[in-house]
This record gives sequence, C-alpha cells and structure tokens, in this order.
Amino acid sequence: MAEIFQQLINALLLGCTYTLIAIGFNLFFGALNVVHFSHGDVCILGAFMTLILYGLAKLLGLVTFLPGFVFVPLLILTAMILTGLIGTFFERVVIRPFRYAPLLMVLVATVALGMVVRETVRLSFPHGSNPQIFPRILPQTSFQLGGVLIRLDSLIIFGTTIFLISMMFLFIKRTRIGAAIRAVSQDTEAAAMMGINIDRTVAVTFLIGSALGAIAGILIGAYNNIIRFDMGLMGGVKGFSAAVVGGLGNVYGAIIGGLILGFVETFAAAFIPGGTPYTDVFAFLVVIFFLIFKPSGILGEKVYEKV
Amino acid sequence: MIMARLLETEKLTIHFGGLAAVNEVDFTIDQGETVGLIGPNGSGKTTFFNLLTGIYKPTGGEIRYCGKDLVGLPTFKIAKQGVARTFQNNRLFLNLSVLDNVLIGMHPQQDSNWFDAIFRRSYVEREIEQGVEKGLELLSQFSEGLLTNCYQRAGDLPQADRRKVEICRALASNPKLLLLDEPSAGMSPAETEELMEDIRKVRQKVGEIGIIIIEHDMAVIRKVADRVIVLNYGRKIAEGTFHEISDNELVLEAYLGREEKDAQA
Amino acid sequence: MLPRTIGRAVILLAVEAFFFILFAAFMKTYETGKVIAFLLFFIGLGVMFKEWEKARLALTGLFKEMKILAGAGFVAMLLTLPFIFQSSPYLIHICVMAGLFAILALGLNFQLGSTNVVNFATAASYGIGAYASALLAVHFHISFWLGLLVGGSLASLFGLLLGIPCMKTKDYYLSLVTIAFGLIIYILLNNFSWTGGPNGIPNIPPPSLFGHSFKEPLSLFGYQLPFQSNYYYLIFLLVGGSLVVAHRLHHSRVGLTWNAIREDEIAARCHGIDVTWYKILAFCIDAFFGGVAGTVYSHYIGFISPENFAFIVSVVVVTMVILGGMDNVFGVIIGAILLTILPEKFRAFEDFRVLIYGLIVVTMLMFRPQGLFPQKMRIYKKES
Repeated sequence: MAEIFQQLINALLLGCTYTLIAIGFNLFFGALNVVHFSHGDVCILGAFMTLILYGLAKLLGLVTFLPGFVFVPLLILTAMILTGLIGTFFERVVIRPFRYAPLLMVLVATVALGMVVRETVRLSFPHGSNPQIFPRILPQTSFQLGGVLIRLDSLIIFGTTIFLISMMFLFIKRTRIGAAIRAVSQDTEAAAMMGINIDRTVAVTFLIGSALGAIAGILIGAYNNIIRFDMGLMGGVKGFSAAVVGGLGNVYGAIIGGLILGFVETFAAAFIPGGTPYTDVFAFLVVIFFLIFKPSGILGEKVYEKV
Repeated sequence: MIMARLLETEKLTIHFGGLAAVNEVDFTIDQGETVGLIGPNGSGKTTFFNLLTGIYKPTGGEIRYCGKDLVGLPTFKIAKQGVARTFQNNRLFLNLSVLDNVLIGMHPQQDSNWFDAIFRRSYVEREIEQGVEKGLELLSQFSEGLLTNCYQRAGDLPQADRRKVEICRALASNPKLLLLDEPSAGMSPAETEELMEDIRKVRQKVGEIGIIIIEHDMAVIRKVADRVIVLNYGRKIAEGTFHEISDNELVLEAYLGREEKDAQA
Repeated sequence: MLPRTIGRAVILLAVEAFFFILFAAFMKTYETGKVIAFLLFFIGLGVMFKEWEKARLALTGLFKEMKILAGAGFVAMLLTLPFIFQSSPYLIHICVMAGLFAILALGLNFQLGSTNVVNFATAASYGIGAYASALLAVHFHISFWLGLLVGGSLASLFGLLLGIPCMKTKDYYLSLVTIAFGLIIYILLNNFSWTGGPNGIPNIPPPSLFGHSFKEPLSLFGYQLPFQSNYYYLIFLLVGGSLVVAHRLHHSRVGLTWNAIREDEIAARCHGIDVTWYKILAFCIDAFFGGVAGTVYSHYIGFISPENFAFIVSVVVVTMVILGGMDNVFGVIIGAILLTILPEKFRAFEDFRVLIYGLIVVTMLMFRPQGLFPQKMRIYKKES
C-alpha cells in the first residue's frame, strides 16, 4: 500500500512537469494553430537560465546575503521572465514568418530551431555534452508519513505547479489580455476585426507559455539534481504527447494528458518487471494508441473539415 | 432513351452538435437530368454535397446511387463509382500544372500501381500517353487558351479559368453524376455566360450524365436546371420547375424574410 | 550537320569534365581557407549561371539535346573517381557516405517532398535495416546480398506498421507518431540484450562477391584501389537504382497521386484517391530505401550502435531534402551530397555541425522554401 502511495506521489510530480510543458503547446496551438516543437528545449533553457543566474548570484555574493526564501523565488522568477522573453523572441523571429505558410513548415522549422537551441546550450558550457549539476535551491529534507517517505522539495514543486496553473487560468479568465487570448484562439480573423492586436496577444501567449515551461525545466533540474543540454528533446516530445492526449489546443486537457503520461511512466517503471528502461516506450505506445483511437484527444472537440 | 434513376436520398440527415445542417431531405435525380439546388446561405447545400460524397457521414437517412447504398462508404470509393464534384472555393492542386490536374481526375479509371511504375514502364507510358491525349482533348473543348497553357501552374490561373480546369478535372473521370458547387461564384456576367455554355457542352457530350448544381445566380438556374430543389435551414421546402419555384411563397419567404418581420424592422 | 553535332558533343563533355575536375580538386582541398575560396567560386558560378540568361539557355539546351551522352559522360567520370582518389581512401569514404545519405534522402523525398508527410523516423528504418542484416550475418552467416533484401523488406514492414496510424491521423499528429516511433526504436536498440544494448554489434563481416571480399583492395586495370572503392562502386549502383526508381515513380500515376495528396487531401479523396493507402505506400517505399542504406552501412563500417540511428540522423536527412529541393529527385541527391561533404571539409568546426544543420533548415524554410533546385512541372511529350 505504501509502495503504491509512494509511486502515486512520483506520478503526480512527473505529471506536473508534463502538464507545465503541455500547457505551452496548447496555448501556442490555440493562438496560432502551430506546434512549436522546440518548446521542450525552451523549457530546459529555463533550467539552464537558473543555473547561470545562480552562478552570477554566487559571484556577487547574493546567495549568502539574501535569505533563502527571498532569494530562491527571486531567482526562479527572473529565470521565468528571461525564458518567457526568449520564447517570445523565437515566436517573432522563427514562427511569425510562417503564419501564412503550410502548417508543416512550422513544424520542421521548429524542430530545427530546437536543434539550434540544444547545440547552443551545449557549446556555451564547458563540457556541455555532460550533465550539469543543478544547484540545490530547494530544501533537501524529507519526512515519513505512514511509511511513505516524502521529500519536502516534492511538496514545494507540487504546490508551486498548482499555484502557477491556477494563476494562469485566472489570468486567462479574468483579465483583458486573457480575454484577448481566448478570442484569438477561437477565431483569429474575427478577433483582429474586433480591434485586438493579434501580434501582441500572440507575444503574450508565448511569454506565458514559455515562462510556465521554464518552471517545468527547473522542476526537472531540482528533482534530478542534474540537467543536460538534450533533455529538451524528450521533454518536448512528452509535453507535446501530453497535449495531444488531453486534446491539442485545450488548456485543461494538458492537465489530464500530463497526468496520464506521468502515471503510465511511473507505474510501468514500478510494477512491470524489468520495465524501467522502457518507460518511454510505454508512454509513446499510449500516445500512439490515443492518436489512432481518439485523435482529437480526451477533451478535444471533433473538428469537421471545412470543404 | 430510358432515363433510369441515378441517385436518391431518403430522409437524409446530419447533426452537428444540436444543429441539423441537413434535415430529412428526400432528393432524386435521373440520368440526363440537371437539378438546381438553391437556398439562402447556410441552408445546407454544400453540406448536402459533402454527405453525397462521403466527406461527412450522415446521422440518419439513406443515399442510394444506381441501386447501391452509399452511406458509410469512404469518399474515394464513392468517387470511384462515378460521383465527381467541384468545390465552392475551388480546390485545384495549385502547384501542379493544368494538365496534371486533369490527369489526376482520371485516377479512378487508371490502374497502374507502384510495381508497374517501376518495372512495367511501357504500360505506364501508354497509360500516361492516353491520359494526356484525353486531357488535352477535354481542355480544348473548354478553352483553347487552357490547351496552349496546359503546362502552366494551376495556381497562376485567373478565377474563371480555374473553374474550367476544375470542371475538366471532374469530367476526366467520366462521372455519371456531377456535382457543381456554385460554379459561377466570383465570375463576371460574361464569364458566367461562358460557364453556362460550358455546362451545355457537357450535356451535349455526355447526355446521360446527371448534374446537380448549387447556384446563387438565378439566371444560371433558370437556363440550366430542369428541376429545382430549395433548401432552407437544412430542410427541403420546395421542389419543381424554375417557374413553379419562383412563385412559391415559402421560397420567397426564405429568401426575403417574412413580411411582418420586415414591417417590424 | 554531323560536324556540328560532334562539336556540340565535345563542348558538352568539356563542360562536364570541367566541373568534374573542379569537384575532384575541391575534394582534395583540406585547408579551410582554400575550401572557402572554392565555395565562393562555386557560388559565383551559380549566380552567373542564373543571371547570364544566354549562357544558361545554351547550356540547358545542349544538355537536353544530348541527354544520353550527358548521362553517359557523367557516369563515366564518376566511375573514375576511385582512381583519382586512389591515394586518399578518406575521400572515397566521404563519397560512400554521401551515397548512403542520397539513398536515405531519396526515400524520404517520397514522403516529405511528394506527399507532404513529415516523417521523422528515417533513422528508425535505417537502423532496422542495419541491425537486421548485421544480426543475420553475425549469428547465422547470412550473406550480405540476402541481408540487403531482408533488411530492406523488414524495414518496409515496419514502415507499413508506422503507416497504419495515418489512417486516422495527419499533419502534426502523424509527425508526432513518427517521432515517437523513432525514439521507441532507439530506446529498444539501446536496451535489448540481443542487439548488444548501447555497445551495439561489432565485427560485422564485409560482403563478398565472386570470392572477392570487400575488405580487400580492389585491383582494376593494374591499379590497386583502396578497399573503400568496392563500396563506392556498390553504392554507385544502388544510388543509380534508387534514382531510376524515384524518377519512374515520380513520372507515373503513383507520383502524381502523391502530389495530389500533398496539394489538397480532400480534393484528392473526391477524385477517387485512397489517401491512406498511398500514404502507407510512401511509408513502405521510404523505409525500404532506409533499410537498404542501413544494411550497406553496417557491413561497410563493420560496427553499429544505437547512436548511429539517433533522432538527429532523421533531422539531417530532412535537412538534405529541404536544402536540395522537395520533390526534385536530382536536387535531393545534391542536397545529400552537399550536406555530407561540406561538414567534412569544415572539420575544424566539427562541434558546430549540428548547429549549422539547424540554421540551414530554418533559413532555407524562411527564404527559399522550395530548396536549391525547386520542383519542376511534368512535361509530357507532345503528340506530333
């Protein structure tokens, strides 16, 4: 029983990470009908950004100067904003030129962009091909609860994710810009005719999506204590998969999709003998299964082709 | 010549969510007949075509074509049985040449496969040769200009020529039933005139073909259609010759709105 | 009349020889500075060719007039390449690799170029071919030639499997399936014990033909050619074969149908085209090409590991097709050759290789999506 509970926590954590990445995919798909395939790399860029900022802060002596509960949120916030800006920059430079081009061109272009991001990261760090040690920014303590070992950082990660996701929903539901984002995702042309600045709305969408993705990257780093330049590829594919399983374009679907993938992977590793190396295979098989039998995803609406 | 029943629908219905885009429509067309399909915007005309061609699966009702049931058949199989169509906002293969567009229209009749393409070259070449000959003949019937420009990219053609190519492409498959979706949309009166001439040519060339034509231009309907069917909110509200229809009160109402409503407004 | 024809033939062969010598000289250049000078010269030639219309028309006219002679001259010159590079096996090795990638790119072109299915699983079929024939050769002593067929067919079978989801999915979703498939194969190769896991399969025997092992130097006309020459001629035949197959498919009902699907799937369906089947067909043929290339690779290098078949390989092949020109058979081959040779010429920048691939794709898609050599309209011989 304790074993199952333990795995449940792991699954939830993994699910959170995928959800955060998948939300980005869904936001972008809603806004522009594009799949920004390098989004996974942007997310990992968030982790590397944290790494760099941490190094800088250490150099300046901020790490010891500021108390942890001030410094760490500040660090993460800065990394989020910077990553958000990078995401917006990519939209402006790489994705916008393809707005009226065939759909698949964006896909190929962003796959290539992902490669560029990964390689840039690899080349910018000494021994960049090796895993980099991620700073221990979260408390390392853990406690027992009914025979289950709970890491404090897991709790913080979980709480932060829920907080951020709810904030994002509030933002989309309650603010003017949020309304604009919803309008654009419903019908871009109509939104433009109602006087909504499409370019700015799309930019904000990318800012939010990439900033949330940065959190996913930081979570991966904080949980594993290491990050590697090429983690973004797998992260991106998983995030995209989660988005598809939940229903591409549906932000709520990201949560369901992310959790499904998280559970499949965790439980495959835990309960299938010798399954650990094959967790990704199980995850992908689930995705392919969904694509064949429910291509529009769990919450996705069936789209009627316009003829 | 005995004209047999070509296509028949019975209580054909499709729901999109709560909306019945086509609602219990009974429809018939015989060989050699031209039926006009009219109705206000959003009355379900194009959806009706999409049901006939299998792009949408009906939620209810039947489609019988030459005595066979078409419901549930995939689009390409329906096309192979001789149902060809054009599209409202015409869907040519824009990056291919005019001639290639017409050649693709012949797909259902040709039968060479990948093995033939690689290993039985003479067979494939004969097939292409015959196709090209037939395609050029078809094009020449519609316009000399298209014939001389048959290697032009279809996307570079003006709108009126695109329609012609689309009709040629549809005819290339020797269809028994031709569905024309607003062929005169975006055309000048002169071009529309030419279009009607083209449709008449089709009729002369293949007498037994059935044509269903969706049109907003009543001049076209009056000249071309033997019989007219009027849809409104997905339902068939009238049927008859053009003259019968033009006196029908329901039809006037559908197009012009109710008089009381007008008075209120 | 006859002297004029002979004159023109001489000019044609001279032009070909000029370019061939340039190419050979370029291959033999190693210093980065000189390589760049060569490249600038090539670009200059290209620009001149584009701008100077009279020369262009004259040349293309000449080549069209004497197609057979042009082809024969070209083939003859390529056949002499191992003799020219006799003292530098490394250059022959580059040519073999260029040939392998040309086969992969030609295969992918059926999908990416002709049908607009973005398949990111080229590495998977390449790997399946390589592993299948390697395992057969190592454990069961099956000959390379049979392995070639088995590798290709098995990859094709997996292509069929991969093609099944396209009954229900398309666009992004289909690309996601291919990416997932590629990663699955990679993970499996890395973890199965019978594939050697991350260590791969060593000691794959070289092919032999009429008692001549491909590991031995090749003696031709009294010349001792390095052993890579065996593979050079093999790959020359295979690329030639692939080219013929690709060309024939393009100029047939099948190629035309693929193009129709690329342009407008719904319109294609309305003209009686079984879109699913034709997409699956493209998957199978692509995979067969990949499997064949993989088989040759494994026996040529003698050692394979999962790293040779990682996601990046698929992206590289996609890059080649896009650079060369989608749906242009010759363009695709040139794309493959360029992207194999250039990185070797810039070994000093080895670390930036992948980065540059990525940048090439992004910039090409933005500024010249049709590639270096855009697709051409099919021209049918006019009835006279």
